[in-house]
Formats: sequence, C-alpha cells, structure tokens
Amino acid sequence: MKGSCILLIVFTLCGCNTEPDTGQLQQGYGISHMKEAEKEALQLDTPEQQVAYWKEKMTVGPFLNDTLLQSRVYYRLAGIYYTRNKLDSARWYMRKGWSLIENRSGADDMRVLFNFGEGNIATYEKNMHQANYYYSRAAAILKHAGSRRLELTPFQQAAIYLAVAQSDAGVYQYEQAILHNHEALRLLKSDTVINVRLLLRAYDQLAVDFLRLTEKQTDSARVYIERMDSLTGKYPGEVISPRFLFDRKALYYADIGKLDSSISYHRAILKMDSTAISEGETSPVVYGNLFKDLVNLSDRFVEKKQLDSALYYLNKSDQFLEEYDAYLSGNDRILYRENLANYFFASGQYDRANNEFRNVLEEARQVYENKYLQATAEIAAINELQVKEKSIIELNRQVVLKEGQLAENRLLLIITTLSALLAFTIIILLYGGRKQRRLQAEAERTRLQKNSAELEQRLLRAQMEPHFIFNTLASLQSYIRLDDKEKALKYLRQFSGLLRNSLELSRQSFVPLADELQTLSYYLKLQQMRYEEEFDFRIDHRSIEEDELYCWLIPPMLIQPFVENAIIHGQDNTKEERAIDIVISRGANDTYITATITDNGPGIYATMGGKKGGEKKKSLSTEISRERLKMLEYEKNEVFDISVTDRSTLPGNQCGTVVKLHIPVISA
Amino acid sequence: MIKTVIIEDEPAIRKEIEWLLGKQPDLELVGTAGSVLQGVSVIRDKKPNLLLMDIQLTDGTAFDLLKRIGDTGLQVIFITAYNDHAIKAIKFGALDYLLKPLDENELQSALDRVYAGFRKPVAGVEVRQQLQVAEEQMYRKPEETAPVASLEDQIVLHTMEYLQLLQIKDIVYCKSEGSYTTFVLHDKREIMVSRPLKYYDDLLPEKWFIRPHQSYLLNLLFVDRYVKAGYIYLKDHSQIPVSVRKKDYVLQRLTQQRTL
Repeated sequence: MKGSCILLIVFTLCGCNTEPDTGQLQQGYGISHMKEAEKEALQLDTPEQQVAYWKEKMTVGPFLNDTLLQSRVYYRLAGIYYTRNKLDSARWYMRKGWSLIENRSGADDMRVLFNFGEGNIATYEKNMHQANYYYSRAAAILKHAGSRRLELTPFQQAAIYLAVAQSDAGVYQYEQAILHNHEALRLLKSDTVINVRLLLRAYDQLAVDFLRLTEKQTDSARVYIERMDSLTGKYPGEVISPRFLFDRKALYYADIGKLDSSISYHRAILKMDSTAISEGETSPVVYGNLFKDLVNLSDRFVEKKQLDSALYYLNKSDQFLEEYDAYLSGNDRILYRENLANYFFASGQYDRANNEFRNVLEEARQVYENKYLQATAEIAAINELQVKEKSIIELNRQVVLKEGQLAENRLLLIITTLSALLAFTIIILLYGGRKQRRLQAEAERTRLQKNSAELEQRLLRAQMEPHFIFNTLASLQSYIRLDDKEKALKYLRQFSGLLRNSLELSRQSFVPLADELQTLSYYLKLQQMRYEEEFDFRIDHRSIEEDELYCWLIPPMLIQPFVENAIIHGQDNTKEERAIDIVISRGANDTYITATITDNGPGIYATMGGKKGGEKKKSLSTEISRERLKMLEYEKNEVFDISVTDRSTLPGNQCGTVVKLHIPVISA
Repeated sequence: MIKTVIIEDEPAIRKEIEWLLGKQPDLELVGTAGSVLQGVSVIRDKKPNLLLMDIQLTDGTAFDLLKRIGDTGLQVIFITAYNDHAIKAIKFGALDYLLKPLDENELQSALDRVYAGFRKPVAGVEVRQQLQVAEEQMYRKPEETAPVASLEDQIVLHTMEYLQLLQIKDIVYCKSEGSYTTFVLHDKREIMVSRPLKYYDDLLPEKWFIRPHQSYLLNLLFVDRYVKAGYIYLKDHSQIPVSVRKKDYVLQRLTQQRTL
C-alpha cells in the first residue's frame, strides 16, 4: 500500500517539475521568456544538458536581473536533481531559489512550490513530521491566497492538497486528511477535464482515512471504494495496478464482517506482491506489504476460526520475519505480534496469548518513544534550518566556488555550509600553519556544529520533556480518580495552554513577549496547583507599553528554567509565605530587556551547599539558557549576561535568590 | 499486614496511591513522604516492609534514599514518569516498577507479586542483592543518558521458579524461543527466562554483545572464529548461525578493536 503511494508522489512531483505548463509567473513580463525556455529545455536529451542550459540562461538577458525568474530557474534545477535522486543538490537549489523570494511580495505561488518541494524531499527521506510541516505550509498559503487566485492550475493545486492529506494520514491526523482530500476533490471537479489518476488517488486516500478514523465510517469508505471501482471500469488504460483497490476492499470487507470476500482480495494482493518480489523488486516497501498480506490473511482466518489456515500463514509470516527483519517497521512487528496473540487466544493457549499481549504493549511503547524522539529531532532540525538559512545563503554568495562542482559534490557542499556557519574559524586559519590549521578548523567545525544542533534539541526537550508530561498526566489522573472535577478541569486548561504555547513557540527563534509571558503564567499556575498552592507568584511588566508586548520579540523559553529553579529551591523555606516575583523591564536601549526572578527561599548558597542528587539535573536546563544567550551574544555582538545573587548578601534582612537576565529584543 | 510507606513528591499523585492502597485488605499504610529527607525519617520511624517510591524526587533519587537507610530488607516497587536510565538499572536488578499515570491492574499485579513473595520467598537472591545490582547501574556514569554496563557487572534473571544472580561475563549467548529467552552460561548451565530476546538485547552492553541472527545474542568474549559460509564458531566449538543480511555487520564488529 505504502509502496504505491510513494510511486504516486514521485509521479506528481515529476509532473510539477518537468512539465512546461507548470505554474506561471505572476508578473506580466517574464512569463513568455520562462515558457519559451521551458519548452527549449524539454527538447534536450539528457538531464546534464538541461542543467547546463538553465545555468547559461541565468547569465543572460531577462533572467539576469529578475529574481523571480531566477528563483523559478532554481526550482527547475532542483526538480532535475530530485528526479535523479540527488537530494542534496535538489535541496541546495531549492534553498537558493527560496532565498531570492524570501522578502518579496507577490511570489506566493513560488512559495507554495518551494514548500511542496521541501515536503517531497522530507517524505523521500522518511521524515514524516518535517514533510507534514512543509506540506501544511504549502496548503496554508494556497488557502490564504484563495481569492487572489494563484497562477497554479487546479490540477496542480489538487496534487498539493493530496500530498498534504497523505502526509496528514502519515502522522495519524485522519480528520485533517479527510478535509484536505475533500479540498482536492473540489478542485479536481472544478475542471472540465477529468484527471483519472488524481481522482483515483483522492478516492483511495479518503477510503483509507475513513477506515482509519478512531470511529470508523465504513459507509463513507464504501462510497469511495465504489467510486474507485467505477472509475477503474471506465478508464482501464489509466490504472497502473488494481492492487490499491483490492487492498481497500479487503480492509473494508473485513471491517463489515464479510471475511470470505476479504480473504479472496487479500489472496489476490498476496499473489501480486509475491510476483513483484520474484520478478526482482527490491524496494523494502514491497517486502513490508507482503509481510502485511501474510499477517492479515492469518488474522482473517483466526476471525473465521479456521485455525489451521491461520497457523499456515502465521508460520509463513514468522519465516518472513526471520529472513527479512531489516525490511520491516516497528508497526509491522506490532501487527504480527497482535495477530500471534489473537491466534493463541483463539486456540485456547491463554498463557502464551497473555505473554504475547505483553510483548505487543512493550513493542508499542518502544515504537511510541522512538516516534516521539524522531518528531522532536525533525522539528528541531526545521528550527535550526530557519535560524541558519539566511546567514548561510548570504555567505554562500561570497564564497567563490564553482557552482557546478558544488552541486555535484556532496562533500564540498557540507564543507561550504559549515564554513559559512563558522566563519570565525577562518580567522584562526589566517594565523596557524597551513597543515595544522586545516586540522584544527576541521575539529572545531564539527564540535560547534554539533553543539548548536544539540542545543536546539535539548531546548525542545527541556521545555516539554516526557518526564514533565507524564507527571502532569499522572496528577490529572489522580484528580479524575478521586472525583475532583473542578480541579481536573482547571488543571487540564493550564496544561493544554502550556502545551499549545510551547509547541507553537518552539518552532520560532523569536516570539512576541506577550506570548512568552502567557506561557510562563500557564507554567506557574500549573506548578502552583501541583504543589497545592505552596507559593504565590506575580509577573510584573508595567514598564513595558501594551503595544510593545506584542511587537517586541524575544527568544522563547529562556526565563522558564530559572523560574523552575525558584519553585523547586524555594520549597525548603517553611518560615514564611513563599513568593516568586518576576519583573520584566526595559533595558537602557531597545536592544534588550531585563527579567528579574526573585524568590524568598533559603538562597543560592544554602541550596548549592546542601543537595547533590537533584542539583545536577536542575542546573542542566539553566545551562541551556546560558549557552543560548552566549550564542546570541556572539551573533549580535552584544553582552547578554546572567547574574545570580544570594539575597542574604544584600542590605536589609532578606533571604532568597535573585536572578537577573539580559535578553535580546528585536522589533517585529 | 504488610506495613507500607509511600514516597512521592507530587501531592495529587500521592493521594491517588493512598486511595488505591486503601482497597488492599492486606496492606497497612503507615506513612507517606514527599522527599528523600522526609522519607529517611519516616522509614526509620515506622519500619515498613514495603516501599512504593517515585524515582525522581526533588532533593534526590530513590537510590539516594536507599543508600541512606542501608540494608533493611524491605520490598520496593518503583514508580517513574519517564526515565530510561533508571528503568534500565531497575531491569538489571529484575525489580518491579510502575509507570505514571498509574494503571490499577499493573499496580495489582505488582502487589500480588509482593504478597506471593511474603507467603513464599523466591529462592536464590535477596532483595538487598537485587537493589545492589540496580544501584551499580544507576550510579554508573550519571552524566550519560543510558548506563553502559561493563563485563564485570552483575545482572539478575527472573525465571519461573527462582532468581539467578550472575556476572555478565559468564553469559556465552542468549537464544530466542518465541517470547522466552534461554541464557547459555560459561559453565554450560541453561536458564530460561520469560522475556523476549529484544529485552536483553537492549539491556546488555552493546560493546560486547552482537546479534548475528534474529534468534541469537552473542558475547564477543567467547567468539572463536567466523566462517564465511555463515557461522560463528565459539570457543567451546558450538556453532551460531549468521543471517545473510548481517554478514557485513558481524564482520565489522568482529574486526573492531576492543579494550576491557
């Protein structure tokens, strides 16, 4: 099933990248040049010739000074490399093209295409969350531009919506997927010409989505399967393989309890998949499909209580697992184990069934954890890219290197990217001996690059680490179990506020001050409930104007670790009412603000001296804030320091800790 | 009656556990605590037989607490929201743990094991030793996210009838039998455990254990030679199959330099 989907993706992308009628330029002049050039390029025999053609085009005539045209040419180049599976080069050209239109208005159709392209590359690399991010952006721009009507044909727009929908389903957002599929259908129907393949794909995706919903809608699924059926009958020449249709029917019949029909369709696809493999198909997806066929068949026989047949297919899938384990995904294995458990159960071997159920749970938990990690890493990668993109491209222009060589050579590409990132290592290069300095720079580069990537990832995890999430859920469960409805509702409200904000904010490197303060307040209220109102807090931002709260941007989640410290360390104080005071005030100029966090706990000297075990972990998250500020210092060439004072060293009879941060501000 | 103490730093979760334990006729809740410090004094004061304890407390970990109270022979059920490091350590000691949010059924089966243990103690290894094994892993390289066990470390295996303490360097190989794993030891003994091979593949040190085949996990210490036809011969002349797909990986692992 998945295999054919990937085939479809490649197909649509080729369509978008190499056909001459793809999207037209918005600006009046230039279109004719582009169209002509596209036609000429298509006449050329080899991709190499096409690349050479486009590169030459960029240096002459109307292309020379028109960034929109150039951007379009880069997209073409990226397309050529993509179809040849040279993803690094494809991505490089795409970024280049993207940077040209970054700050331009009226280039929305290019923006859609670039996001779509990034989504395709991410899908190819199996980064499902990244892909979804880019596809969703493409869809959002499309939707937003609705009334202004982009110069993309309805088919192209539909293809984009279909990709978004498929990617939604890939990250289990079936309802969203259904909406996007419907959008695609609407566009497909708005044209008088019938595009059979896209229509089939839309019906197919809808059928599956309806079957996968938490509350299955088999009737809706049936409608779309029937439409696929009639479309296939009407245009047999357009259909590559009936495997899709059979697969959907098998699923559908199983769902409505017609096991015999389901089995006969499963057998048909099993045969197709076996043939594909015996004919030399090596894609892991086909192997995965074959495995699923075997497991599904066995499962149907279990349902039919024909245990002999079930065992036959079970043994076959077991053999397959032994032999091709590397081709299978965690989900495949879970499916297999579930089936195994069902079989044991049906055949009265309850102990083994029970054991197997436990294995399923364990496996599912692992898959879930892996997915969580992957999602975090992928989103972190996007963040990192957005931060670095501009400076890289800017510097790339200055680095004089032959472009042709650069595109072909993966290694050189990495080195250029790194050297741009770490321009300061060049300063070291100027001094040391030639040989030595090369070695040094190499080591330094890897280290720093790793550092910044790690930093971003750790930031994400520190904000919403699993430990925090599960603890919060556990408290919530307690309120529910002990029937404290009011508390449960209030708690849930704070938690979802916090979760939403940090998911949204962590994607950006600078966020509005108001949002950041709201997140802090969610966090504090949550902790307040958790520790049963053991402390009071106050967030004071009187010295900041109302409108500045919304147009001043600061790096997210810098303050939170210090607040966390204040809560945890202030806890030892039993003498007086505990209070945490956060004051945000303007700096001497508008390039920074100060945040002061004051608690009345035992003070930093006492806490540093006292505990050991917990201490290490806590300083870790503040350490991330320190490192981030240091990197910002370097970027902005300004000092953003953190001072920590024990209040007992201040005049008056005080206790507790004061932390003062200088935080960079940019204006939106 | 089994005297029980709960140690958990979040009031709401503590209350939930109290409520759940209230339904257990054989348990008597004798005290609760919210930190390592309070925990130590409650345990000294009430002398419980069973601890239900969160691993990550604000002023330290459950293991810090256990270290401070010394050997009292009490049973422990650990509770954790999410901590790979600690869970791995606990698995080394074959101890019980529960995940948050708490599942009532899981709690019940953990308690059932405790009850069974009080009625008829499991032969072989004492709780004290299990805790020791876990502690050894817990305090190994605390700056890393996952403990890296060494060959000298010990591990506890939980079979149907008894607990077995052994040194990792005595394991020759593990063989998968469905959801069971058989350990073959240096002295030819075989121990069958009702856990899948994957469980131990994750636990045993990657540096020393390789998986040449879906069904085998092998200690590199005992490898004699690799035959291109697809077998590894061990020093005691037994044969372990190598999957076609894993040949390159096996070859690469066997030629790597290792230091003890």
